[in-house]
This record gives sequence, structure tokens and C-alpha cells, in this order.
Amino acid sequence: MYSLSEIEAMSRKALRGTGYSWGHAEEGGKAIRWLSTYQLPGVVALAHYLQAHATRPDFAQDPFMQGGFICDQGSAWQVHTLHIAYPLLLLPYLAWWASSQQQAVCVTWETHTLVVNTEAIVGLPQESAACFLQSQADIQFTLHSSAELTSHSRQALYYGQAIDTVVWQVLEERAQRTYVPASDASRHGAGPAD
Amino acid sequence: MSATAKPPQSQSSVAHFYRPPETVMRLQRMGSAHQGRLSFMRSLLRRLKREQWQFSCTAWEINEQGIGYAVYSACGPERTYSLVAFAHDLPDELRNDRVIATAWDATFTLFDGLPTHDDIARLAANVPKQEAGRISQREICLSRANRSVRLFNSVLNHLATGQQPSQAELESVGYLMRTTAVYGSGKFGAADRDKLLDRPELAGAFQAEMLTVWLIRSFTLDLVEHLAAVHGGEQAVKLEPHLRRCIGVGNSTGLGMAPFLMNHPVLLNNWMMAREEALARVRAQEAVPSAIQEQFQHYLQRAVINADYWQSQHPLQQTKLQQLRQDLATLQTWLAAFDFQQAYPWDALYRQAEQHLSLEGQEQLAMLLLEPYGDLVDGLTDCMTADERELRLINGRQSLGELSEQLHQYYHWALQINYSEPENRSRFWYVSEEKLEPRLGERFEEPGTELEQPLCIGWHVKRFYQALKTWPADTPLAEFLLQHPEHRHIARRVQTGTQHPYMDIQDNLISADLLPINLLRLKLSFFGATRFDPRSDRWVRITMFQHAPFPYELADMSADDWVYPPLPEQA
Repeated sequence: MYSLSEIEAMSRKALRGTGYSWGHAEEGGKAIRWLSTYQLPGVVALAHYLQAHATRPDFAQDPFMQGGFICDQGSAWQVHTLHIAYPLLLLPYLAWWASSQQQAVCVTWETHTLVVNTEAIVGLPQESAACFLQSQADIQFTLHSSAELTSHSRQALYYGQAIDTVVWQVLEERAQRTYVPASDASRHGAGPAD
Repeated sequence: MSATAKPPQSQSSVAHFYRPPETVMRLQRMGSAHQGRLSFMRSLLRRLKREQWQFSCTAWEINEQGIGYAVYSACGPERTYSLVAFAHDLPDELRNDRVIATAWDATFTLFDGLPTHDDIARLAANVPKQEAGRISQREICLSRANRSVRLFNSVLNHLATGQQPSQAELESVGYLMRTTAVYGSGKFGAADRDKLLDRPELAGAFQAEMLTVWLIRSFTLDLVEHLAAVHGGEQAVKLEPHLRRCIGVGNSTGLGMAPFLMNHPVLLNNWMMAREEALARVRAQEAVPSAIQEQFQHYLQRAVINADYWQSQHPLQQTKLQQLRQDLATLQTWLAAFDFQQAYPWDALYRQAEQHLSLEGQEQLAMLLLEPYGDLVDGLTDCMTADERELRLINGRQSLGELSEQLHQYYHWALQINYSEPENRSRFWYVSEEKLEPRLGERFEEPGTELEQPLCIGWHVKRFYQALKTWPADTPLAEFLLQHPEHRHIARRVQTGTQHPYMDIQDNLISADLLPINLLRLKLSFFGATRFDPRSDRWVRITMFQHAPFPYELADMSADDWVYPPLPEQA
């Protein structure tokens, strides 16, 4: 089990270690955390994504870059169809985008239709969410009323998430790239040998 | 001394008396911060007493070598928390306060509820390993502490032979053990803060950590008395109550804590605004009844005693302490002839202090002014949290021209520094592979600058400004950021900054003359720490809960009259 804080921090560092800007990394960390609060496989999706892309993919398909850009645009964003890598990773950004306009968002890809805002999701299947791990898909989304989110919705939980060690290690390897190796000079840089 | 200009009638509201960010968000003043009524330790004890919490040591399995475990439970109106303490046999040569240590005299966790034997077994396998173990969402905090060997042994030997140690000796150190980390907020698998947000007793800033430390205090005293009984048998005595209270919990803090202030800007803003609002409310008092004048005098006298007991080996702090003692004497002289009949007398006193006292003296006065006004200011502790779960969205539709104006208005302090001078960027913050410890390196001498952490806020603001100035002013920010993602984090920060005036430290965080202890002291002052004792420019020792009641006496004593040592006749 990993806490949400650990999931957010590790995701952020993994993205930074992959070459994303600090701003994209911090958003990505929060995006993965958001997915984890709904017990969605955000960390798994991120691990698959990192393994598929040694460095960042094309902007057009990159959920972190596109997600950031959509949120930046707010109500000025008018496009409702994207072809995106790992669409699950875009979901939090769509929730934020809609919530900033006091709305929810209706998202469809493959056979899934979800209505989402930052506090709840409607339409999640009861069975395993492995179906959300497509490596790419066409995704459609439109603004939607928040009204139906009060019933039949999965609420966020704050109990952390169980993550497979192998999956976690994929993130850790990328996160490692953000740490400076220890050295004598480095050890003196934090305080005396007290 | 007569008043200078009276505040204009139309500006006699509290807002008029605020100290602005450009005054208080400065490293030197932050490095002179004092604890006050709003500190987290004090608000914790006020609540525990108000809600009549019950405390007991529910397990004591410590052997004659001082090894084993103990459990201390704190029962509130709705929930119970337990400190599980593990005592170890640490060889002297392994005792080390650094984050990179791997063994300690004692290790701890704050458990959510009452632990079963299975819980204790699980914790015994993990808590002593600290960062190398895993804890669960049933654990709220993880901590460890080392003995202050000389004082611990001296107290043990005194008690074992039926004697009491001297108060002077106890005051000179102030603690039997010092914590070297207190982790919460989901670290190493612990419960996320989110889980605690609808629990009033833990929703406030660092309440879980402060509860953990307060219970650790009890353990350290019980341990030394236990060992004294083991060594001395029937001869052994316990510490007398007033001497027992001279012992707090030490803490050894290094750079690990420093990035917090930069990484939690809205939280810092809310702490500072609460504190400044409190001070402004007091300065806005048009008249001061004599009972309150007397109370203030009383706390001032106790602050004088505190400053006398406060020791440090560090030349910087010794100078500050000399100034503080002088300033307190000056304050006493002023008060002997002070005109309390003038309008807004506290404001007049504060402004006089601003003119004539050192920063230590000014900040001490600022916090002393709050002491008689609990009813007026204590409620502000409810404002000292921030919801950091939500992502603050960048407003990509803002034009670069408007943003540029805002940078001039809110971040001129960053824009006016010349970062091409080497001494203005001679440091860099980074995270070491070793236990992921934050460190501060020398840019022109050490490797690792390509992995620099974005804590050099001012420099990043200036680079952002210089880049956006080369674009047409009507360009939306979103378009600029597409081409310049490297400014994304700072764009978010400055947009947040225009809404939170006290969130940024208005100084250069990578300059050659940066003293990280200034960052540490500000945060520690909010905890409620006293006796700041820097050991270097980036390492400080403090004492927590010194003179506070113990759990078993909280119901019978004031919860909030303990920070300053008692006057001699009260002891």
C-alpha cells in the first residue's frame, strides 16, 4: 500500500526524470493522485506509458501536455475529440477543466462513458479497471451537468492504493534521475556530522 | 514617550495595522521569529484541555536494560490515539542526528486507535527501521529520537541516588531526548492528511505531529525514572513536578525542513496572515485596561527570564541573544513611563520598537502583545490550514502584458536582483540520493546543478519575466507556455501569488549569504518552539513543550500559561 502523498510525489518525480517541465510534472503528480483516490490504475497507466516512451511522445498525443493545455484554455477550449495515448491519464485534466467551469464532463472512449467532475465519477464498471489501460484511443468529451453526480457515483477515498512492486519500480527508476548522487561534498551540504 | 501621528479616522480598522509582506516575508525577520498564542503546540493543548481528553500509559514493556516498548493513549470525545514507543540499545558511536542515520535510541509511531498485539508486532518490525520500513494508514506519524547523553545520564544518576538534579542544569539543556524527524502526511505509507481532515482534533496544522511529540515527552521522563529505579532500587526517586516540567523534547532540524516553506506557499500565506491579523487586532485596540497592562508586564518579565536561560554556542545567535536581552530591558524601561492613555497605545509601543529595537526584540514584542488577548486572537488558528489537494489551474487566457504588470506589482523584489552576479546565484538546492535528503550546494564548485530543484523562486520569476517580455503583450499565456513549458510552474506560482500576498519569501534563496536557519526558525516558531540554538548556518536545535503540563496534570493546570518560565515566586 502506498499513501496518496507517496503516489503523487513519485509520479511527479518520475515525470520530471523523464524530461517533463516542473510544471507538467507537478500537474501529472496530482493527476495520478486523483486517479488513485478513485482506485483507478493511474500508477499502472503511468508505468506503461513511461515504458512505452523513453522520452516524451508527440505533443498531440501526450496526455500530460494536452491535458495542461486544455486546462490553460478553460472555456476557450472548444475541441471535443482527441486521439490520445493512455486516455486514462487525460481524465483528471478533463475533470479539472470542467470543474473550473462549474460543470462536469461526459467522456467517451472505446465502450466507456463516464461523467466526471473533481469530486465524483459516474459510470465506472464494477469489475477490474484493466479496461482503462488502452495505450491509445480516440476520446470524445463534452461539458455536462453535475446534477447526476450526486447519485450512483464513486466518491473519492483517501486510503492510498495497493501498487505492485514491479510497477512502482518503473516510476522509481525515472524518479532516481532527479537525485544527485551522494558524495563527501554533498554530505557536508546538509549539516555537520552531529 | 508620546505618540507620533494618530492613525487617520477612516483607517482605524484592523487592516490599517497590518505589517505588509515586504516587511515580514524577509529572511532576516523570519530568522528572528518567536512562538506565540497561535502556535501549533499551544492550540493543541488548549483543545486537549477544553475537550477533557483522558491520558494513560496502557503498556510498559521496558526491561532493565531500557529496551522494549510502551504505549501511551490519548482519548478524546470521539477518537483515541496511541503513541507506540520503542526503546533501543544504541551504541554511542552510532548516535547521529542526520536524516541518513540508521539507528536511534528510541523510535515512535502515533497509532490511530488502540493497538492490538498484532499491531505492536507489525510495528516492532517496521518502526525501528524508520524510512527503511513501511507503516500503514493506521499510523499517523513516524518519529525517532536520540538521547542528550550528558543530561540523560546526569538525571538518571541523581534520581538513582535519591537526589534531584538542579533546575539550572535542566534548563541549560531542556530535554532528555531530541527528535530528529517527525513524519506525517502519508510518508512511508502513513495515513494521508486527507484522511484526517474531518477530524477537528487533527485537521489543524501539525496537530498530529505536536501530539506525537508531547506524548514522546512523557515517555522520555518515564524512561529515565524507570532506569533510575532499576539502578538505584529503593533509593531511587522520581523528579519533582516542577523540575519534571523543565524537561521538554529537543529537536534537531536541518535542511530537510527548509523546502517546506517554498513548497507549501498557500499554507505559509495562511499562517502568516493569521499571525499578522492577530498582531493587527491588538495594535487596533484603542484603549488598554489596566488589567491587561499588568498581564503584559507579567509576560514581559517572564520573557526576560526566558532570554536569560536561552543559550547558544553559535556566534550569530549569541549576538542576537545579547540584543534580545538588551531590547527586553529597554522595553521594561519604556513601560515604566509609558502613556497608556494615548489612543492605540500598543500600536505606539510597537512602532517605537520598530524604530529602536533589533529584529529579535521586535518579533518578541509582537508575540508578547498577543499574550493577554486570547479571546481576540485564538480563533485565528482555524484559518491556518490550506486545501492543497486541488491543483491550482493556470489561467492561460491572461495576456502576457497583464501578467508583466502583475509581476512588477507583486514580484518587484525578484525583478530587482541581478542574477548574473555570481554571488546572487552561488547556491543551488537539490535532493540527494542518500535518503532523499534536501541539500544546498555551491553552484560553481559542485556537480549536480543540472538537477537543481525549482526553489530559487526569485530567479525563476525573473527568467520568466525576461522571456515573456520578448513576446507581444496581447499573447495569451497558454500560447507562450506551449513554447516555453519550462516556465509553467512559475506561471502558476505567480498567478497564485497575486491572490496570496504572504506566500513568497521576498529574498534571494540562492545567494551566497543565504542562511537556511532563517527558514527553519520561521516554521519552528509556528510549531511553538523555543530556545533556538543554531549549530551551523543550516542546522538548529530547539526545545518543544518545555514547561508545559504533562498529560496527567493537564486537567488541573492552565493549558496555555507555560511557554515562558514562571516568575520565581510561582515556581
